[in-house]
Amino acid sequence: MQNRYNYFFDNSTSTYTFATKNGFLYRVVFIIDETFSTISGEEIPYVFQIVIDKTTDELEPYDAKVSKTIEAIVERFFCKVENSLIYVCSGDNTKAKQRHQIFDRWYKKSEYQDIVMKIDNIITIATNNKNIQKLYTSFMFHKNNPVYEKLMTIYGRIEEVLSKDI
Amino acid sequence: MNKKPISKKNILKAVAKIATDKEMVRSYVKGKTSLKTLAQKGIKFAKPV
Repeated sequence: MQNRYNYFFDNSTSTYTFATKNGFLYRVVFIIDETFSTISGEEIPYVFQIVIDKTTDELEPYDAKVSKTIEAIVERFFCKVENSLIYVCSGDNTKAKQRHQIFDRWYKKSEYQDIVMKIDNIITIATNNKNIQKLYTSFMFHKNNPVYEKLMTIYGRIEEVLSKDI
Repeated sequence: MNKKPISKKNILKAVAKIATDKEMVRSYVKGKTSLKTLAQKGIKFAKPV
């Protein structure tokens, strides 16, 4: 028996979608990220942010197939070695940290961790109302990405610049 | 890489956008925000898989 769910690209919502045995619908979204282009001042293509969520706020019982399905989507994403991925957890710091740790756990259990590198950065920023917010970020890229050194430099620069004068 | 320095303010703005984009997309996934609104905010969906 397959250890994950079948997913498909839903053209009506522009999301990768799968349904679980408990009747929950998950959407995986890739959005084009221009942060690296903005920071470096040059066009850096194939950088995406991944957003994963259920269509409802209802709590779902633990289902191991969910992470396996997401793993399959991410693995397929990295079939194109030029692709790179940003994952961000923000909002309530406790929940953000927990989600960040769950994502890390998925990565460490995945079959692609030998070929896909993951770097984490916790970035502290001040919001409009002067509150301090922590962004738990992860950046993933294929080890054969032809520009991985440039990407790592840019990603590292984010934390380096923002950590000054905080 | 372009050696022209980029201001901390612009990096902060770019990073903050990552977080707000994510929250907007989550809101869309839960049916609370339309795709049109996301597009107006400059959020571009991709199909890389």
